[in-house]
Amino acid sequence: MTQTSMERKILSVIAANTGCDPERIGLNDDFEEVLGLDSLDRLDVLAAVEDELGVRIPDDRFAEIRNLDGLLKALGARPSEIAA
Amino acid sequence: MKIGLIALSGVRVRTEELAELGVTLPQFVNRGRVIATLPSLGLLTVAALTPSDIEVAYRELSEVRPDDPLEPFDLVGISSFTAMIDDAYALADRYRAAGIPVVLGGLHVSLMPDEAARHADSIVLNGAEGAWPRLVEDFRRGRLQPRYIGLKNGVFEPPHYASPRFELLQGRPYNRITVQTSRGCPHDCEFCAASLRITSRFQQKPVDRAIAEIEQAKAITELPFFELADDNTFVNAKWGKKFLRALAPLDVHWFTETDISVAEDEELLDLLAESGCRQVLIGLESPTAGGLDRIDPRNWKQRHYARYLEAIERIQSRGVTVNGCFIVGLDNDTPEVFEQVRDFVARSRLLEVQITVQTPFPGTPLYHRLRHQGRLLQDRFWDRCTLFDVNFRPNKMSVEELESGLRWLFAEVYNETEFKRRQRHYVDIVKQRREDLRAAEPAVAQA
Repeated sequence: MTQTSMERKILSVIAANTGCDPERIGLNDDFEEVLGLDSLDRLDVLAAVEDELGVRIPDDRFAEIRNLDGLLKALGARPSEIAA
Repeated sequence: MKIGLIALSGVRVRTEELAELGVTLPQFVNRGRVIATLPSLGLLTVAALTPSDIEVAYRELSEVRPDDPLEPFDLVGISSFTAMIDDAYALADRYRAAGIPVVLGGLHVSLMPDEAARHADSIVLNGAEGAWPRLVEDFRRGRLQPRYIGLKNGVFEPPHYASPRFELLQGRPYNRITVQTSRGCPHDCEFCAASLRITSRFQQKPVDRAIAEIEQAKAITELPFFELADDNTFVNAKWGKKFLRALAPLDVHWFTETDISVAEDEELLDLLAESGCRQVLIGLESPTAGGLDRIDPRNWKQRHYARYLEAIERIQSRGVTVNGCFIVGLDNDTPEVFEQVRDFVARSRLLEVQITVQTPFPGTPLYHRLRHQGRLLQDRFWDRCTLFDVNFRPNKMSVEELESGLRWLFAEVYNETEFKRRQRHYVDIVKQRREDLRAAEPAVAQA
């Protein structure tokens, strides 16, 4: 999976789990403060990402994943410009 | 005429060391923040019971600064809880000194009426239903009485029921809205200082009224999270299922308190998950069967102890987290209880944990027993009713052992490593549930 396709896939997973428009989710939009998720919603998104992308996010990175940028970094991917 | 209703909210941690620990213990801080930001449902109900020609203002104590002039109300109503009752009395004294009459109400006032009466022109005992409308009419006629007795029963039925005025919260930064679906609890635990003390029997709101309130509250806030202000929501499974089916289409997330028996009904558990329930808080109280002995008159909790682990697993497997509550300092607790709680938490894989010290809230059976036994450390300790301060001599350990054990247990259960472990467990549960639901889809389709 290329970096950009991973971003797109993650955005679609977030959108499916939150009801947010993927086009409107910015790289640094805080999941809780901007997208209005609660702490368990945020973990639901991470679970969905793990499930649908077949990846495992390191446990010690959960707390710092507050936005798409943090999620990409936790997965070892660098964000592309389109999501910024 | 304008009535000011002033709420005192929040948690109080007096012990410096615990307060410092709180800074670094994520789950302790999270729950404290949540409680601190809950609006006063009692006062919203009082507002609804006020005749519509009277203006009502809802305020939080934090908005009434000591140096600012007092807002010019014709009458002030203050509701409070034990740990902050002295703040309520100080505010009441200030208003009365300014010539503004004050009414005090709430649980502490109901349990300690004579004390409260010294700081008020009038007090309301039990619920406001059946009392507040009479009080307002008497006040209008200049005949305010010193004491009004509200109803202990029938509060959810006409003519006494009034839907809380949630619109008074509009524009305020609450991230949780409280709605009450029941008062009381059949278990009657000795230490409980909740609504059962002002209720003659367990009462449940008709489902359509509870749902209507949630719809009203939902309309005034974006992405609301609801906290049911109940002591034990699912005592009646039939009512519970009807409520959950009606709640599911509202697309809200919510939290409530219940007991372990909720896990005995698979259909109820499925409905919990489908209706957006994020967490149930359950008073497990003790990690040992012996610790539960005589906590409640029928030993209900001790008889259900053997099912604790299985019940927690069954609830959490639905993606509904369990906040397991433990009380340390129970009469059968020895100094080993702290390790026992830690080990039970690890074994049960609870996703959230609440640990408090046994607290003899004034007016409770526990308070009267410990007082009779000469085990209370002070005569008056209301500001120490924080759930974290020791106010009595424990039965099988010293006060110092209980205090230091509590601190040790906090550090063991609330640390960063344990927090991450719980987060991982939750993520794994959600993934498993997704897999299970996918596996069930063809069967559902075929059916």
